Amino acid sequence: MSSANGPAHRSVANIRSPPTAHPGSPHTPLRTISSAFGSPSALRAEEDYVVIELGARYFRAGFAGDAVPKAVLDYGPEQRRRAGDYRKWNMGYEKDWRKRIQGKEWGEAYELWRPDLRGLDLGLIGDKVDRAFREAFTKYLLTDSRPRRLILILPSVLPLPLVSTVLDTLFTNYQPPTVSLMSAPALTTVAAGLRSALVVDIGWSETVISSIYEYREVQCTRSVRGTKMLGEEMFTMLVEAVDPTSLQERGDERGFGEKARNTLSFEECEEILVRMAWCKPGKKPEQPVASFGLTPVKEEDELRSSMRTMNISGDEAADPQISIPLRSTNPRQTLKLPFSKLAEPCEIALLGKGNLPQHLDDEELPIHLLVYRSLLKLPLDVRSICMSRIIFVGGGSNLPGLKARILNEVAALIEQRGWDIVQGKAVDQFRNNPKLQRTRSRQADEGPMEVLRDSNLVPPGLLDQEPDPIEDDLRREAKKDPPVVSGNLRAIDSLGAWAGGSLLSQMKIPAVSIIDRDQWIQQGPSGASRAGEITGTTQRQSMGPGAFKSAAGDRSSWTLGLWG
Amino acid sequence: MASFKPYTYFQCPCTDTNLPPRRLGESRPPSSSSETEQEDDRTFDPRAPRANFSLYPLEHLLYCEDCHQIRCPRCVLDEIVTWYCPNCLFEVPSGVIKSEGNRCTRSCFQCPICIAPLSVSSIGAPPEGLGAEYVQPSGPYVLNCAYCMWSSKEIGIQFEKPNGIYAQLSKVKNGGTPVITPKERRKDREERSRDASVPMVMEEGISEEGEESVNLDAHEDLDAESQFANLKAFYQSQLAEASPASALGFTGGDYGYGSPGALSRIMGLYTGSNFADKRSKSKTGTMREAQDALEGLQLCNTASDEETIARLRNEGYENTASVAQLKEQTHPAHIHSVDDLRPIAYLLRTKRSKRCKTCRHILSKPESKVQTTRFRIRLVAPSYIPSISIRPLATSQNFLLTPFKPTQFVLTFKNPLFDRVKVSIATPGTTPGRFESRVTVLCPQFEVGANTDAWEEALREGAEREKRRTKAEASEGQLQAEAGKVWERGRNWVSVVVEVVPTSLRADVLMKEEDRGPVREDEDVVEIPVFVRVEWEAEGQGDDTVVGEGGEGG
Repeated sequence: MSSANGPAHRSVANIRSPPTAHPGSPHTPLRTISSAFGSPSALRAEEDYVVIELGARYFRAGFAGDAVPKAVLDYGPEQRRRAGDYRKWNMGYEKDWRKRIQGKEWGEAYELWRPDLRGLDLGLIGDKVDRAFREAFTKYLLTDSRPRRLILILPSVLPLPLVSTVLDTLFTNYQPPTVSLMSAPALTTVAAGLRSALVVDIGWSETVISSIYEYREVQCTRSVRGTKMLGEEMFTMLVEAVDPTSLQERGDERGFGEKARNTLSFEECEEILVRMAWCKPGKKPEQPVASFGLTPVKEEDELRSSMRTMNISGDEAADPQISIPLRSTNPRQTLKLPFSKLAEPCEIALLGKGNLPQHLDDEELPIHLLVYRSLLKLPLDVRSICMSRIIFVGGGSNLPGLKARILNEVAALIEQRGWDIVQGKAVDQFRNNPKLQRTRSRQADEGPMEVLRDSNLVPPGLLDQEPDPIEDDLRREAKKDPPVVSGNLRAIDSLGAWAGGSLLSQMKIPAVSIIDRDQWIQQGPSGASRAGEITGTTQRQSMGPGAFKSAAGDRSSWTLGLWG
Repeated sequence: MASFKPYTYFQCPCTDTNLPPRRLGESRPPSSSSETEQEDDRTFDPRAPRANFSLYPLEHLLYCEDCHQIRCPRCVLDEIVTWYCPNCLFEVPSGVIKSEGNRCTRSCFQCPICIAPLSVSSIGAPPEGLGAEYVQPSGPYVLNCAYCMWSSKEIGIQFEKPNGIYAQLSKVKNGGTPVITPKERRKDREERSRDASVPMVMEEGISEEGEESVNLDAHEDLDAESQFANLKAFYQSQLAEASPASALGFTGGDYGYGSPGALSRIMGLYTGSNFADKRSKSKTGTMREAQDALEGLQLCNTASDEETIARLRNEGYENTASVAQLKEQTHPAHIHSVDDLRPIAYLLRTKRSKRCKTCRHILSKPESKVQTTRFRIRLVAPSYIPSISIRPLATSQNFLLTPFKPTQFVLTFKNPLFDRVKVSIATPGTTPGRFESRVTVLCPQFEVGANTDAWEEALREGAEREKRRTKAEASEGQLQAEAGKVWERGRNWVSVVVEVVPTSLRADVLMKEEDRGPVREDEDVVEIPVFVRVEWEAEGQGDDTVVGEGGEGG
């Protein structure tokens, strides 16, 4: 997912506007008419898009133009009961949860798909999507089953089998005329009002950091530290507090043993995670005083921060006992935990406490390190734009304090390492060794290249800058626009990918990947042409009869865009 | 499981054709011989995770008379007859649904804590003196939960009027601070755009209406709705400025004649001087990004996070909103504490008529009036498909199954049609799944009589009834079913006997190692897939196949 293939929003990037400085000429505000024939009377028959976002845990659906989705559904085990199975209302149903989790990994019953597609029943995924879709439509959207255009928001990297299963389900069961695919990180950027951003999606099975530059995804890095891992850590912590013996017997390769899993239910663990988990603020970043590379300052720094943490954990008033009533344990009990303990799972799972960064695999970097690395990998100017536009989304981003913590950690990393890929003990030694530094500079000074000085030649350093018309133009343009904030760390809130999709479809901005129902049914996923072959919507338009067809109407070739 | 009720489910055949069961990269490829076998007679497995999505009780199914098929909720098309609020039973017109959304906009609310209905009550001093009971109570009013005693006073919200709570509530935040309405925001936005472009020719009368304008803070915290509105306005203004630049004055793929670009193009069509060209030749800059809260940009507010943590620390677990409570909220973002919850407006419901997906005939159509429960058209499956019920043969004893002990069950087919039907049923020898029980149907083919008038039969065939009773009495003694014979037969029903030899539920003796493990949910219930073929002759040749499935206790 590198370089410039973020075609889903190429059309957005193509929108050019005249300089904003002279909006003086009068013009009527733009009316948005969606119909193919563009007559104003068609305003009434406005066709509303339905925007759907698919994630590993939640299904969001609603009409374009809304700020929040009307329906947010999960794929929990209650969603996959038979019709007319009312056992949920039985007495004592809640107590029976142990039976229901048998034969599954922790949390497996709650997710739509897992990243590992081996042995995955695609039909089942189709069924789940179908049921969620149906429930959303009948219960929340309150619409009939007239075919509607759909906008499907998907994570920017989704295996083709999953994409095709979802599309199959939608096309066969609901007959939408078209389904447009859009990528979640780009929409998140749109929903924050930005053109470029570093989208940190702390999702269920992984954290994905996508760098969006001018609406294009330029880089994507990921780590397995997601909400699932956080949940597992929380589970371990709680089970240990309830019954320390049950954790000793570990299950097969990964996951929990039988006894541990039967101690506490998934729902309860998640409930505690949502309600009580938090994230420690960590050390505050030093004010940008010029304190470069001097070791004594650093030591003092660490000392101070450790004093601060000591203070926090030592003070009884700052760390009260929190009592949490547990209902799924046998027998019911009230757990008493120190407040600071509830921040531990986040430290371990998301921030990689207890592991040295060099011991970690590339795929399990803690989030702050991942943010730093992805910024580091970006080209300089993209980095300066992106680092002041960090957007946190995903379930994990709701954890109180996490955003600030990650920002602090990243700031500390930048302070410590600068923007240098090379790091390690040898580099530090090299940098701190005055001898080496001196020799290098001396070499530069006393190099063999002696420049012969001509008296009537002005040294190039004193020459006037050569006039560069392009540079001038750029500067003039830049002056007209408000200055672009760049170069400092800053987090920005986004309304989320769903709202972005809703916004874009309100603006009538077509996606690159618009899939026609007939074409999909005839050709299936293999009929899609590669992303590069499609020129987007920039076809030549003329006033001929063809011009009045909608842009997506008569494409002979279609693409799956990012996902093809 | 002392009291287990046997049940039957029907599988709708629509799912068979939809998606072929696909599995990616099967870890162990099944041996070729068994695969071909599976291709030939792949029996339906009620245990498979997908089966739950295609099994329905008979009462949930409709029947299409033209296709001669049962129709499940997946193979019908819905059309909405009316929208209504389940609380006040007021009908909501479709236009309001479009503009106001899917919730009741009157005064119907659910408690955010326990979802019980809320009622409006006055907290003003009750009027005193003579005839006080005739005086309307005066405000202020609050919403009250009769179940958990929650009151909107707890979140600092009071109302001036007892009606139109929805509109009043939308103007107040929790705690009582007023919300800046979208209208005010729009106005402010317009004013700013007017200020920005000083030489505006727009001379239209400034419609102030006496309201003083609100000055919006460029750094305020917006809620989702207003941030969305701001973003939308921002993008629209950016796009509007972009629009004349496109070659033909068309934006995106949109051909609005109202757009200025199109207008200038039309004006320049025949005159040589091109209005549009002037603009399109001018340099194009990119759309800029949002700058402040007025344009929808929201900086991440870390202070509120710290506040949340402090609250968690001080107030503990009880004061946080539970997952279930958050799920009911319409704007769940940034809600952490119980104090942030808002009353939930009732979700509207619909009455729907249903059409067959293949032939588009109406299968069910309710009366449009909200209060009536009558249907104009209702083709439900129980009046076309023989209902199948199952019960243990020996009624007296506790019918929990004992491993390896043959137990007999009576499978009763009841015919709702006015024609005789021929039924043939088949089951696999062993039930699918980890625990394989042996199943034998003693009489796989039989005929079920027509559903004639009950009185007619009573008058005509007294003798036959007599005969049946004697037979039943005779069999009472031996309790032994004969193979190939119907167990019992009535006017429009027939019972046959099914023998089940349940297996032991001990997982550790299973052959395959990967199957071992404790008993999962529902595995202690024997579920038998039964393929049922029903044939009857009506005006046209009716022919119908259904896969039914029975479950029995164990």
